[in-house]
Amino acid sequence: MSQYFDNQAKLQVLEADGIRIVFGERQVLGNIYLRVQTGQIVGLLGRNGSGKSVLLQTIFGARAVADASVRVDGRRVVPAFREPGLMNYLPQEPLLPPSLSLARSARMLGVDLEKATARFPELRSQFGLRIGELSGGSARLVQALLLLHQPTAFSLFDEPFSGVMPVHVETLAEEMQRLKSRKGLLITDHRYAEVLPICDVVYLLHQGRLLRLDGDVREQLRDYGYLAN
Amino acid sequence: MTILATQLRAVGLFYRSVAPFMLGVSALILLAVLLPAIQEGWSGGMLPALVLTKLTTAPVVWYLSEQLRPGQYWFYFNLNVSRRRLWAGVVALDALLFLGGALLMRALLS
Repeated sequence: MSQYFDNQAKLQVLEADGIRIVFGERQVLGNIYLRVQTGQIVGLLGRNGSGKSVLLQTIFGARAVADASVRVDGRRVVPAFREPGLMNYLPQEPLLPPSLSLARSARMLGVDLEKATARFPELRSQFGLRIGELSGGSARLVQALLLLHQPTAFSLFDEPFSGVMPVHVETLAEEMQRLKSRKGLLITDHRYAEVLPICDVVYLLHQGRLLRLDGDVREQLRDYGYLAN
Repeated sequence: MTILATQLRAVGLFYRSVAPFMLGVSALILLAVLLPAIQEGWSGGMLPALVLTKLTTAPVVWYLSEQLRPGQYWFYFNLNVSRRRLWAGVVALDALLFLGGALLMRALLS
């Protein structure tokens, strides 16, 4: 399948640094160092416009940034998305072509749809539907599940819980916890109440810098103005 | 092999999304240029020029596609296919279809 996903037994480390992004006069990202390892869920929080999506897209390789260094076990992988089995990325916008059926999308991504949706039996009746025929929340849930179950060493999720109903959010979070034994997850989502309990490591993007939060994370989030006092 | 097959399927799927533009341009060239040339009997030797003309329209389709659907690539990136590879595949496939259509038209109408 791939050197990365076949290597599940071995700890793999994804590191990104040297990422500096400027929009006009404003430096969005600078002095970034981020580390994710397989078996971990890493949370990336930050206010709107702080550069979370840009950072994920840069790591994924969809956004070319001069001097950006993305490495897996010390080996440079730029653009990372070109390496089979290395990582996938769930963008904020719709991922799957609306004309594609759920079953065919799963086949192309190399995912067993039955297994991926085993904890969401209500999705079974929708396997034959096109993505464009699903409700917004179901489409979002399905996309997150497909990428979660896709055989990659790392998954980068940009707001996976957005639009998903609460009962499914809880199950999806449990599914992430279960599957982290197979891969490393980097998640950004404003639903911090759901994100924080499942994270092993939490980073905060604040004024262009990436801060690793240790200790009382909520208190620090309040100190940096991400949460209200 | 599986990766290659998936990537070929990805190019086919992507082609479907731009086919209305691509095939529309092909039909326009074939009907407006090749058909009159065949009817008037001077179509011999013009195929390379027509294919070249067809190829020069690809950047226009690419530009429109980028402007109208900037988020269309995420699925393909998750299949390890880059923009460049997608468009190279699409242009090659489209040129083959165009050439096939032109040859068929000439064979039937000459």
